[in-house]
Amino acid sequence: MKFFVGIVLLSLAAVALADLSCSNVPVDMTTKWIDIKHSCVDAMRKQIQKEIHASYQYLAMAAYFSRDTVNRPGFAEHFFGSAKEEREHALHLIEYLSMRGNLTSGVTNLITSPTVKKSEWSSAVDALTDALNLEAEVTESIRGLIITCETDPDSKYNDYHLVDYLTGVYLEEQYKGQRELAGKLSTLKKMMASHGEIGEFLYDKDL
Amino acid sequence: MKSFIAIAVLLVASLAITTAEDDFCYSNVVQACSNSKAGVFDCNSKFGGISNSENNLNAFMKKKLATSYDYMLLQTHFDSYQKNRPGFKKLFNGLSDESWDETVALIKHITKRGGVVDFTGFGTDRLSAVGSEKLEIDELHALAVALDAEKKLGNDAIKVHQHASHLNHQEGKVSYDPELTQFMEEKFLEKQATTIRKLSGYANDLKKLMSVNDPSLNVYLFDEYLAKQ
Repeated sequence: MKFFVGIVLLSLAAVALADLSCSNVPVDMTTKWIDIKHSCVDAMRKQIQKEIHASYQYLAMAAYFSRDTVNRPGFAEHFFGSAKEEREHALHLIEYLSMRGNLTSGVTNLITSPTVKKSEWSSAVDALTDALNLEAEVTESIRGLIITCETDPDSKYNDYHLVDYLTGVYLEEQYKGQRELAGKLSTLKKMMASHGEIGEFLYDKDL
Repeated sequence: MKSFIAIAVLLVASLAITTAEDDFCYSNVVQACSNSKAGVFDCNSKFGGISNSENNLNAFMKKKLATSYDYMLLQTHFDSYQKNRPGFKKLFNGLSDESWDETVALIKHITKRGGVVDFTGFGTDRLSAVGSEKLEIDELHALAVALDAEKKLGNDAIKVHQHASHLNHQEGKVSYDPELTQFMEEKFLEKQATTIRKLSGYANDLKKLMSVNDPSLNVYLFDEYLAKQ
């Protein structure tokens, strides 16, 4: 009898457990098509975090120039735009990895909240200088990523498609963006020596 | 001598009055214009009880930003070929974008009201940091995580509102700030209620659909429905 009750209880428990089968186990299927190499994926993951970091840094610049006592709405909007762009860069790299069969695991720690090192700038020139240096850092990092993905250290595998995407889309955007920032910085700097206050005021309104 | 003291006292008194918060800017201007080397020039945009809500607003902004990235990761999770749920991907993409836009709106409002945005101490508000929860979860779990997160954010928005409302007036400090309560109502509370109701409806629907032996087809159809929203 006891044994019978035990079985009934057990089967009841099993029914209760089976009530809602929420988890669908990963499907066992061919992975031959997934040809992106680990070294390249790791470098991509680092690049994604770098873009997120840049986004936070730009957000801090935007917040600084939005202050009542700073009041540079043109620069603020410019940096809000940059922050959004960096966030989209990260998302597009993430979507690329998904497209290549990656990111079926290890998603939770793909993005970590970065530390923002600086949240005040002495002038617009100061911030533009930081922005240009930040972009140069990102460009250098993308170049490193390209090198990793075109010559996997073990297999010498060349990931043509990703390398082409990084070169044609990302580097293209980096170089154009850097030139734009450099132009703004030089224009502003020319006025700063003798027309600092009015120069920054007027330039902000033109942005 | 007596009259001199009286005049001095009057002068000090009038200085004290003009340096009261409302007249800060003007007295600074007067000082700056009479002495080119005058130090302080404080013409800020603070009024009402905003100073007492600055920390609350900053904390709320940081939570929104962290949540926006967690939604981005959930979106990523459902975008993998193994999960392949375009509907869920779209849902979390939308939530992520909304949270980002709200973060920007909060930054703009903090600075509109004379505040300084605090960029320290990110990372404690992540959904994935709650317990040891990971974001690689199933469909119904993901809806639950999002619903709980939005309800918490809704309650956080209410806290910001309550602190700035007349209910909090007896604290001695002036916290009353109807401009801020209005902003919270218009930009957050109504939106939070809409999002919460939407997620709660999804969770209840999906739970019903999953109460079968093999829910794979039902989840597929529900995802298809989400993709059309």
